[in-house]
Amino acid sequence: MCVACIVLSCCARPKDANLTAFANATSTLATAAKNASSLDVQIDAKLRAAAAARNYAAGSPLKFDPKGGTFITGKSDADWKAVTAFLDAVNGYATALSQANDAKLVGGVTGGITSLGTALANANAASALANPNNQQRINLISGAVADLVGVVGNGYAAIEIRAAMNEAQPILQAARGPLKDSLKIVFADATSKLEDYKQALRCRLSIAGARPGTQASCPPGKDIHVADAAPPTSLEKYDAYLAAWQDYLAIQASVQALGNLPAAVDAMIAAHEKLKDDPDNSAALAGFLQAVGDIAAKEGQFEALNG
Amino acid sequence: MSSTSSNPAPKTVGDVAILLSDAYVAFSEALDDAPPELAPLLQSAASLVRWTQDQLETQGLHDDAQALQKLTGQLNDPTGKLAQLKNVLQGLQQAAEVAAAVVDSAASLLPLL
Repeated sequence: MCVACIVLSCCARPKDANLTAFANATSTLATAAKNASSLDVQIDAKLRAAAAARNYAAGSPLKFDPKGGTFITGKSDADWKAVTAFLDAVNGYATALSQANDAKLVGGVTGGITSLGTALANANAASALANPNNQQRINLISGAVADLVGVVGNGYAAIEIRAAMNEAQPILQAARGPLKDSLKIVFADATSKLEDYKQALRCRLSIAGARPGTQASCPPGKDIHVADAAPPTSLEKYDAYLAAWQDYLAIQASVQALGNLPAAVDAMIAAHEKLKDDPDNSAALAGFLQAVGDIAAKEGQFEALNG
Repeated sequence: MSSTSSNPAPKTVGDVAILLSDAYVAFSEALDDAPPELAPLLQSAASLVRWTQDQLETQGLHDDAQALQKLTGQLNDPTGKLAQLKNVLQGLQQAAEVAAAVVDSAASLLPLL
């Protein structure tokens, strides 16, 4: 019994809830990173549409040829796939960690062994009907064997899980730099594109508010002569302003969420290290869960504003 | 995340990309209220910053991707070992259950012998 206690205390499996939460959070992080590139492409598509509309409003011949946007300059799609593939691999690792640590699995082994012990005891009892003392002794031994096998099963799982976590930690540490760097690059690109889109919205508002015969203020060298028959009403100008404002705010919220991704990577690696050293420490996950929760909330805000 | 953070100097390509993005936003905003004689100059500066940013981002992301590709392969090792552990535990569980059923059957036959 004391041996069992010692084995349990040195080789206990991590808490299931901790590893499950860690795996779920890595999934959210991987999804958020994928959404980051989608956002960059989405802003680019809006910019292209705005440029085409501005040219049409300025009197250029009609060219209605809607095209999607590109990620950064259009030359980085394959590279970005390698970045998201790594985050998917982290999620795959975390899921495997959670599944190998599943209490039902280890419990199932213990349960199976217990059933086997009981069956053996019954078999022995059937062959030794005449001696009740033997029956009691056999039951005790069978129970003890089942307990010991359960402890060994737990210990085996714990040792293997910790070995895997020890192996993964330096890989995560090595990935920290390039992972954060690539996320910062996407954030920087989306921020610049958002600024361009803000200028496009200003141009649109200038067209909406201009009186006939005047120039709408668009980027330098691209001012537009407004030749509408009637000036816009105050309500039309008001509504146009609010629509542009809401459009901008929705994208801005999502771009801001991108800015939090590098910190979430730091929080993930820190959480893994703490769990590796102290698997039962629920507080180890707090920073990581908070970081991905904030990102998910901001992305939700984007979805809500987009209707 | 911007150049106004407490970090005194950029350390990575990503940090420089953010600084360039901040500069681009500053030039673009300055264009809003710029006097006509300054506007072309500001526009040229903004375009140059954006061009530099594009080059830096493309190359930086490529380098990061190369590094992460190697690490993805390395991470497959512990993931594979965990999957193997799960299989071993599942196998143990199934073997114990089957053995219990066999012994149970045998025990039920014993009184008849």
